[in-house]
Amino acid sequence: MTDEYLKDLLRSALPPMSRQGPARDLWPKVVSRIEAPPGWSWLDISVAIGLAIALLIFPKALLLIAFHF
Amino acid sequence: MTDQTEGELLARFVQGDLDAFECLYREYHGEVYQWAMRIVRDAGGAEDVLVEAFWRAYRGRARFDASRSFGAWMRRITTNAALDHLRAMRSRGKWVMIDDKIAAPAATAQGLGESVIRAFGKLPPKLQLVATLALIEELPYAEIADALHVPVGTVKSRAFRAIRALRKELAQLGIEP
Repeated sequence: MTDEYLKDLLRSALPPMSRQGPARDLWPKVVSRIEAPPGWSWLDISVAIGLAIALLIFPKALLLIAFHF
Repeated sequence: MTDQTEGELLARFVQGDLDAFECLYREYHGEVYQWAMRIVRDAGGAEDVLVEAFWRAYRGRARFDASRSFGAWMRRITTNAALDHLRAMRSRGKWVMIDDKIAAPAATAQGLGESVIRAFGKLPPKLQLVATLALIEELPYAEIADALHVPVGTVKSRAFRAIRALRKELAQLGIEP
């Protein structure tokens, strides 16, 4: 199978997409996404779990944290 | 939109002005949608990618250099959002390649076409993306490299690997013309 034949096969099975715009106005969805409250990221969750484990292992560290408040 | 107007809009956008962002959205959403559509090849998926891309753009507006092209910046963001979409579809085992309303296998016999689609769907998302843009849409390597923010050589290498992987997949499906 030559590369050109493979490309032709691909283009026959999956024709290039026609140039068209979205069927509806998506701006309201963009705005609601922007205005949605930020959720917890994996990093946030990892830090929270790490902190909880650290406090369980070193409970006196709580005093150090409390000192800063 | 004149250069001055676009420059002002971009400056306001960087400061978080939502009205300015809406003007930019109205100007570029068609281009972003078409780019997303070329990669994900599904109308619903392209809409999701568009919303995600504009959300990412707004969230990352402080990193935008207002002296550069907003269209090129959006294209990069859209490409990354589309790649994430392909990855998500793959992890859910739901790879949609043909939108019923838009595309249908043309000259290829149905069985062969389905095998090609299945083999294509098994490509890793990064190879699938480059194969879509380079082999199906026939875009210049330089344009793809700019959208992916990678060197042209990387695009060429991915296109080559995609062809090799596709050939291997088709051979496993018993197609070796």
